[in-house]
Amino acid sequence: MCDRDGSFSLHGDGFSRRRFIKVAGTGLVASYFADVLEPRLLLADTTTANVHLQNSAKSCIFIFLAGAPSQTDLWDLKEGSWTPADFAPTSHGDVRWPQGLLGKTSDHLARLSIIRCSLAWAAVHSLGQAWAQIARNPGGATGSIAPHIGAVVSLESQAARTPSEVLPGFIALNAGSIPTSGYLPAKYAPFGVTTASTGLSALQHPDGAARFASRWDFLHRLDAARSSDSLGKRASDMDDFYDAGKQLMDTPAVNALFSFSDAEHARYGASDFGDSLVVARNLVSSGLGARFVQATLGGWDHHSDIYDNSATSSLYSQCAQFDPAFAALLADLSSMPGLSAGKTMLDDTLIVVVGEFGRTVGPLNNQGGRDHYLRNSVVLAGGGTRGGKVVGQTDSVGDKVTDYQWSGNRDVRPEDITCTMYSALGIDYTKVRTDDPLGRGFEYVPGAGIGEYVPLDELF
Amino acid sequence: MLTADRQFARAAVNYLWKEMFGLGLVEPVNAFDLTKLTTQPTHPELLEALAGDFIAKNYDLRALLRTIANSSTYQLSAKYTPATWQEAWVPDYARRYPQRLPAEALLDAIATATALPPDINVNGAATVHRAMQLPDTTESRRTANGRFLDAFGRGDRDENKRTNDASISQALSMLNDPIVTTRVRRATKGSTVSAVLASTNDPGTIADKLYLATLSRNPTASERQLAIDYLRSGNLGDRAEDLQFALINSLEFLFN
Repeated sequence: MCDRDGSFSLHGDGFSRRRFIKVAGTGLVASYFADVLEPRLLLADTTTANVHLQNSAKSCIFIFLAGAPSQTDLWDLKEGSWTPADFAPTSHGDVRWPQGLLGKTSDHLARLSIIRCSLAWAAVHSLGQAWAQIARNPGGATGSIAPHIGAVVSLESQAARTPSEVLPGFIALNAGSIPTSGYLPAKYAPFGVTTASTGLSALQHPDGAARFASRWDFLHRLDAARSSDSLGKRASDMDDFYDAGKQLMDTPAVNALFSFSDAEHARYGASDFGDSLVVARNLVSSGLGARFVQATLGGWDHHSDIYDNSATSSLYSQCAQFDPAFAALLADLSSMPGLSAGKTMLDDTLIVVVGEFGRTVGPLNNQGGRDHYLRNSVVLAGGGTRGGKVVGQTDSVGDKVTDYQWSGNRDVRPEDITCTMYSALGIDYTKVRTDDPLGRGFEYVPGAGIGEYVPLDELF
Repeated sequence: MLTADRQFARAAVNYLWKEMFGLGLVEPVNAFDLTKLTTQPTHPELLEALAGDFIAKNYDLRALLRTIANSSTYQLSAKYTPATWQEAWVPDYARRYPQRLPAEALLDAIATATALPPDINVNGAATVHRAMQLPDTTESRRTANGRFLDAFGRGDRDENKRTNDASISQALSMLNDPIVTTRVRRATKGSTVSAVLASTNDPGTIADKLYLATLSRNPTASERQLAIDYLRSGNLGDRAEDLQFALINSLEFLFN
């Protein structure tokens, strides 16, 4: 296939891949999409003057409830003749709460910000899910090149990384197929992990460390082309991932982060989702470079039998997974010392709970379920948010908003949530990158530069 | 009939072109619509010529494949001097642009190089010995082979798209998965390394045979010398295993 005897006389004199990536944070990026890249002039990325950033969080745990949970049975409880008695609606201050579903979470209400005036753009799963994770219309001009929010966070944290930070910046737990690095280099793509009590498979070389060292060294002498750019970006990406994998193998602490005990597994609710939050806790508190951890819990698409406790999937089955795990995560992070003095790990970690949209309100449909609906709720905790706050008051069934209760005085859109996350993480949400392959400028959040979308500063 | 429309031939040609080059003459290949401005071919004359040839040869996919594979475009060098290349030239097919082998092809390539085909149970109904024979991407999900194929992005028919993107998991699989490490062992019955060692103990011959078995070519003079020096520097059996391990982990093996 490839001629190995060719020399690389310009390599070392030219602009090598490693140098290229080194300057990535300054605006010139070895960026790429669909095999097409226009080399760009070195233009400065633009931003909006005097943008105010909270800069209050070091990392983010993004809990994605795929399938779209029913907001009026959970975060914006609206009782009616349909409400099962064992939801046990309870008042905590002026918040009505489904104690029977989210009893453990109720212990942490003072830590939560519940946004009830959230409105999705699309009531189609694929569109809504992508929208929430790339902060724009997936069918829009930059939809096809857009990186996941986590990839942007990973890229933005790259410049401040220390050599001991060996973990990928963006780690996705039990996430399945999610948006990746878009046009950004593949190193910012999510590191996908399926959680298991034994930790990461494949971090140990079966023939021992000494044998591995010999093989690794020989491989790099024999396959000299791998450390040049001569085979193109895809091949260089693969070599970068070999290096990143080697780093993980060489750091004994890493596997422990992905492992958990039987006791932790039980305390987090004995589910895959619970396991993923144990790992998420370990990752953000390790200080080893994980800035954005996504944990996904699907199964919320309850078009039928939403209140049927005997059904395979119902609000009961899903909350039985979510509630103990979420409550244990909040309890653990709030009792761990943070990365800076006087702070807890929860102070340093922004937790965001979203679905792609909400579900129909009022009485159930004729299948005993709820269908797709744009109105939904978003929950935030930690990362500098004050908590104990509800934003948005809805009418008696949870349909129309009667009082937005925030400075924007309008529906909160997925883009506003993204602005809030970026602001908390100290990322300029108005930034427009000039390295996109379309040459039209890549806005981190389209419209944020002209104030169309804003962070919810009143949460902080 | 479906094939009566010339667009059938154009679309088929475009799909096959994408398989061969990693980039369709029209992208995205599954939304090829000549009435849309956004899905126009980059090389309309080429696409029409190939479509015409495809029709003239009675829609013979093998003939089409042969035509493309024999073209000078397909046979251009994969290598370039990094500083002189511009990624913007990719759609001009100015060079061979290497693609990673798809998940199934990679597993089968490892099996072929080591002469150790896998036994993959298909839902309790049958056993196949090549990943390419799997009837469905959801087959063999919770097995070592299934996890390997998943790590390399085979996707599934439900939620996950097939992808050729690289990842850390892929690198770790190639380095540490017994699918690779067990197959390169001389102690593994029937392995290429065991057969080569049984036939010779000459380092140069071992290097030649392992290169041929793994990369389908002889080593260059410098590669051969590097391999000979390495084989002589320790236990010959161990070193022969290491050589095939390194060849299987070379970018040349992973990419086409």
